[in-house]
Amino acid sequence: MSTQTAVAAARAPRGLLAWVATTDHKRIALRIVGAALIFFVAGGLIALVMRSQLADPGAQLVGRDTYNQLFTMHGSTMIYLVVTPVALALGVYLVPLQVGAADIAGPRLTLFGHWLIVAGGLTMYSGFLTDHGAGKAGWTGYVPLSASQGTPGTGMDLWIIGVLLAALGSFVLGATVLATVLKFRAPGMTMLRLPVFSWTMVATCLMVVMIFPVLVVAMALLLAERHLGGVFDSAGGPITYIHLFWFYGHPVVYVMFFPFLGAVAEVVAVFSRKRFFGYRPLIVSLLIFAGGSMSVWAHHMFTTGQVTNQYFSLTSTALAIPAGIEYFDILGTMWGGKISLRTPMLFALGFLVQFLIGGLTGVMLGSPPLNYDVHGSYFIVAHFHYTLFAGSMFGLFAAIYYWFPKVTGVFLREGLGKLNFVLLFVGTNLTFFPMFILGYDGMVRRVATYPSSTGFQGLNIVSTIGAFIIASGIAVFLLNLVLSLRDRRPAGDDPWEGHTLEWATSSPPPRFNFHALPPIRSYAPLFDLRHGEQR
Amino acid sequence: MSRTGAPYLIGWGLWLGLLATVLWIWTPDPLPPALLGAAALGSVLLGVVALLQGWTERSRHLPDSSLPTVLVAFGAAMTLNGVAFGIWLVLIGGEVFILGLALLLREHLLARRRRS
Repeated sequence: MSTQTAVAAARAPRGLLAWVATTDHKRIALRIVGAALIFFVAGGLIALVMRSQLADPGAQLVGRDTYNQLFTMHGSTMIYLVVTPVALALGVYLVPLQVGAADIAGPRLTLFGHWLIVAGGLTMYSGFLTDHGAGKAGWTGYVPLSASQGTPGTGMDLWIIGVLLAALGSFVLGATVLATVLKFRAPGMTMLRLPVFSWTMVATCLMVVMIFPVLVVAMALLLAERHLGGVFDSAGGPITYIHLFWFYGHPVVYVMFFPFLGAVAEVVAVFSRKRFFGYRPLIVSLLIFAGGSMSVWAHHMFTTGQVTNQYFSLTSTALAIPAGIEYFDILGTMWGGKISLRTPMLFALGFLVQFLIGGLTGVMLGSPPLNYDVHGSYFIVAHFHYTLFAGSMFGLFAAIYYWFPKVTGVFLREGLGKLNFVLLFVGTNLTFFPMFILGYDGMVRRVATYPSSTGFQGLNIVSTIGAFIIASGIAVFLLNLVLSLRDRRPAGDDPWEGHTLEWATSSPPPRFNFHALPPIRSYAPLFDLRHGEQR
Repeated sequence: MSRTGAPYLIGWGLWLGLLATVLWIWTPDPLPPALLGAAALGSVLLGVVALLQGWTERSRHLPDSSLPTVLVAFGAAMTLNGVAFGIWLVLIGGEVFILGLALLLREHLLARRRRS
């Protein structure tokens, strides 16, 4: 039994009440993922409209003002309402299971965080119904563009309030996951026996509790600036805002990376039939990486001339060291293993290859001279989509295909999964790789159109075709979900021969997670049971 | 090694502190090292709190649902939305928020009575 004895409430809720107000961490996590999926479809449709517009230099599918709203809402949706909440939802679902706890720390707080994110999303999107439209100052909301003179109207206010609510919600989720690891681990589950995924969530949540309050403050100040004035009016005011924003904005890239890295590490170990290689170096590198990633934010500000480029260039480039350790650990895990190329493993390999492209171009951007050259261009768009979509989303799909049998008790279809992977892999590279070339050739980002004389049309058409292939990949995934849940193929409790505690309970797990726990003598207790090893 | 994981929080805070110190030496602008320094301090304080609290083996009352929590969340969201839509929404949102808090208190008291 887990450390804390669970005492159930008097009556189990049913119907709408259970749907809206459940405090079971597993069901909350599924609600978060469900809400994120809806926002993901909305953000994806917005992306398709933008790509359709850019396929033809003369296209007038949407006007410039609408285009500004679309790219603002696309970025805001994906960052604040999709990838961050889903990254945290993985922790909300899995961390209590992996540490052997009966539930998450502060289940009411977790529920509170979920509904704040949903309310934030609805608030942001309600801006489309107002006179001036939704927020249109980019997902960063730079001052003075986002001030009342730069962007008048209620829609911009709603964007700020929405971001504030979503940030507060994410902060609460991060805090409860961290508290679960710190306070509610099962007997025998020491910090140095935490599974790799749980360690990535520790690093993630440490960053979340430090950076999200700064975003909340930045948004509150921006709201005050718009309604009262005088907050960012001084000569250094806009720079102050940019510092506050990117102090959150850069580490959040790793909030949206570490959980998926953890998922990929678990997948690679299980599908290589090996214990994870280099556990302790990975933990040290994760903590160094998380700390280092909080001290690089001003590389987004090189061109302002207001920051110490040497320091931020040094720290940005140095991040390649812990990242390299993590990559070598994962490669070392595969080395000599009996690799099984099931769908989760394919997505894990896709994550590793594509995130490498995103990471290496990030090292380039950490160099001020190169950064000056491509600043504000499509090169940047390509870089961050290789990290966030080609990287994190592939990690997410690896996680979904891997843990789906645990969450539902049934398998996702393997054939459709592989088709899903191929379409996403082809679509992703067709969409985002041409953007590197476009950016290097001088195509600037956040433009609704471009002159035909620039010669950008060919690569933009390739990019647009890629976007529609991605959409077809997502459609295949949704079809797979529906088919797999309707015509169920039972998976059993541990179909992959998993290494960690969540595979020791039933699928789906009971309300309080475990009836009994196996002995915990390492970070892979089920691997120990199967192979009689201790580490 | 403390069971609470406090040393990791303190260690991570010290690592941030080191980075903040180097930045403070290097940059003339006080804001960047102040931001990083605050995060370092926050992490160390969190670690100290975890250390002082120690590890307790106790039973937890885990609710199955909590509608008041949802009311508090939507009350807070409505109140904030009132900044854009007007004082009427601030007032309605505030009422929902307070009602949610009151019901949350009631839920807590009922749970305590059931436990005892």
